[in-house]
Amino acid sequence: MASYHTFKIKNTYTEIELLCIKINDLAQGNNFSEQLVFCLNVCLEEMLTNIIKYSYDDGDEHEIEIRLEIANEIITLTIIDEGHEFNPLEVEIPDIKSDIKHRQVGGIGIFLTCKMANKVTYTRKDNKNILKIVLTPHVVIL
Amino acid sequence: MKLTQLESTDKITNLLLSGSLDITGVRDIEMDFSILVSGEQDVVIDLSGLTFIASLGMRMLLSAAKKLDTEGNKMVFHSVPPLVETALNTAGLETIMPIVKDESGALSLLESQG
Repeated sequence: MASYHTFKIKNTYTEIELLCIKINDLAQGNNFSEQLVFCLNVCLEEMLTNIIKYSYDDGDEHEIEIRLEIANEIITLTIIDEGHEFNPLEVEIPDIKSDIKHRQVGGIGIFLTCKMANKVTYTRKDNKNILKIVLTPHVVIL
Repeated sequence: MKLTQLESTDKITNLLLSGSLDITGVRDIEMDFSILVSGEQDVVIDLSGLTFIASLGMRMLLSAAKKLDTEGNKMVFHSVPPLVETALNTAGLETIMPIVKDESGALSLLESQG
């Protein structure tokens, strides 16, 4: 039996925090494993932070929609924003093997999300960015 | 999010991080963290109470480790919960900020590297 949950937030960091609290309550109610909750939180924080930082060319308020589908212990997280076209999967991955002097400080968020999710896909439709992230209870982090 | 300074010496700053190093957590402690990790001493951090970390938290730790490195010093973590350790390893951070089992392991590592 699948359940569907939709949340709408404004493009501020405070709203991400409040959303994570609501989603964690939902996760607890569905008995998600500790690992699944950890990975879900990483995906939410990384992707929403990116949207807030990079998707908008103005300083205005915007709405971001977050959908959560829970079916057969598989979580599908869909994040929809109306910012300019931005495909996080095309962002260059930092070299995580370089030494401390050459290690890049930022840019690891998308990499972490892709490692923790089973599948991440991006589409651009009706002037919206649609990011779909699939997580399963036994996430394999490589 | 809580940052505690434990008993420290002239050569080593001992810290304890507990809570969730998410957006709010980083905002809560980053100023104090940067003051405590001045660069002049090695830093040993007990992560036993850390429940979450994502890239913002890693960024804070990595920036501090880079500052230490310019002074010839190191940052070592110990007592790291499994999920936090997995996240740090996934980001490839364990090669530049060593993770050891406990405090004595951290002290031995720093001693062996002079």
